[in-house]
Amino acid sequence: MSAGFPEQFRDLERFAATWAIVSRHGRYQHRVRSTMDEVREFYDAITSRLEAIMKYLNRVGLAELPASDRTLLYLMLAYMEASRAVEVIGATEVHWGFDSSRLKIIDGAEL
Amino acid sequence: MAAATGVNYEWAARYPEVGTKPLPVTPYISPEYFEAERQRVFRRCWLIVGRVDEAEKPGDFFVRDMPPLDTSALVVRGDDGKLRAFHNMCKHRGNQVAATPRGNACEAGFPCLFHGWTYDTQGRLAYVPDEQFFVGLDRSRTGLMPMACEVWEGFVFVHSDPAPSQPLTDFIGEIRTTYDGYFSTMKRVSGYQFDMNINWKVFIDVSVEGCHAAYVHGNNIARQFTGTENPFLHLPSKRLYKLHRTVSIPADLSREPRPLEGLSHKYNAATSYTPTQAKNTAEGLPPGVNPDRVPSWAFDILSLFPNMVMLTAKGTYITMTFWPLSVNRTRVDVVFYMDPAKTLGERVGQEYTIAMMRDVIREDADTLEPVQRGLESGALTEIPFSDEEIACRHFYLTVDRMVKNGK
Ligand code: FES
Ligand SMILES: [Fe+2]
Repeated sequence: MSAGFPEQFRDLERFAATWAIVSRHGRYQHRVRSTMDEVREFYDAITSRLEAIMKYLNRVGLAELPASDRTLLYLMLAYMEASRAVEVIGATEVHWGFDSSRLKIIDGAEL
Repeated sequence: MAAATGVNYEWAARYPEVGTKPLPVTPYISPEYFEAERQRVFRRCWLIVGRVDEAEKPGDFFVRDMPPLDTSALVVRGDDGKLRAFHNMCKHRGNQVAATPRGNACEAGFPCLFHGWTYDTQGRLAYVPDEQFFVGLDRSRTGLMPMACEVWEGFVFVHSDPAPSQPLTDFIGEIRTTYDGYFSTMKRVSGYQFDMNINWKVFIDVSVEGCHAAYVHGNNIARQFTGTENPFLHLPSKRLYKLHRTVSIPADLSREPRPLEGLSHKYNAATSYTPTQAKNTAEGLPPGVNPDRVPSWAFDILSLFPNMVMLTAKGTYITMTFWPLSVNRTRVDVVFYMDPAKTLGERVGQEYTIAMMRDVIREDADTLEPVQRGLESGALTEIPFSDEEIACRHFYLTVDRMVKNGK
């Protein structure tokens, strides 16, 4: 994984193994299986570097995104899940939600 | 509230034919009523089965189950470029002819895997093994069983009657020109399907009113829309057509944006679901989207009769198709469409909308199975829909009119 992580964000690489998940449903599942403390730790770490990350990733169009930046991109997509938990719901899962194991996911290629 | 937005909330006065009376629970729980719906609603309406870009090139096909018609539609673009729909059923002994959900049939056609009858991309019977033993079979006059197939704004509609008396344009009616080009730039980005123990109309009802937001979505997104001025989320625009209906969901722009919303706006990543200033206008939208030009607008609900609900926003729309399996069993098909992201910022903002709406839809869904159980108890005989719930009432009465009068 380390070959594919930009140097200036090495401090975030410790989240790669847990949060850089390729599938959308996988990122959601990771959110709800984590504790709120784990979600918050990830959320806080990304939030403190948010502007720099966005500036860095936005330097090229999505289509030309280098393979070495993909892990960081997946972290950012997972950050969307984390932010729902921290900024909106105040919990890792909505209080009254339809059992997600009953959803049959038909997502295609994501990027 | 009326003064704040200049909108009149006397909806029953505007639509007197919809009325104010409580309505019987029967249509949600009666097997006989459900059978009448199958015959008089689903067999007499144009039904959306997909998008044209799912069958773009000659030979491209896809298969969609249509449970209330007891059939599957095989939609195929012929080698002549024309889009057609057939029952996915072999004329020999009834096997399915397309065994995969999608593909291209230019090379192989549709070979039935039972005894090898093979159809071409226009549905004609091209090859029959041992043809000479089928007495009286005229291959040139035998083909797949057609259904009517037409396109509106890129949506593929199928009608169980191969020559329906009502043309699609007439079925779409008042809104046929008002979405001009809105859907065409957006592509499918996500989807899921789930089966629920509810009557199909229960989910459409919750989709066309705002009164539930403060309760069902109270710990989630309600505040993005309700705010202090409109705590019960009155919907400032409700348009009731002959068959279809739209309502508009207002945004609360007075609220301080959350950190991520602020960021996604900064990087032009927001959809109008996550309201802050500037994005929430009708600018650049065709007249059908935010039709009353509500000033702080988040998105619309279009209830396209009978079984489709679309959430139309800026930069994204979501389709929810409700396929009844029985009177109290429904298959829900959710698909997200978005303008292709050009930058990472846009991509990230899109992911936020997808994650948010998944949580929202799961909240709606979670409410509805207990609702169905309540309706089935028989203890409740009538539903007192409020004036704010007039679109539920209108949908109910539209189904009822077709069940009773056939149109
Ligand atoms: S059922 Fe198709 S070839 Fe016999
Ligand atoms: Fe809802």
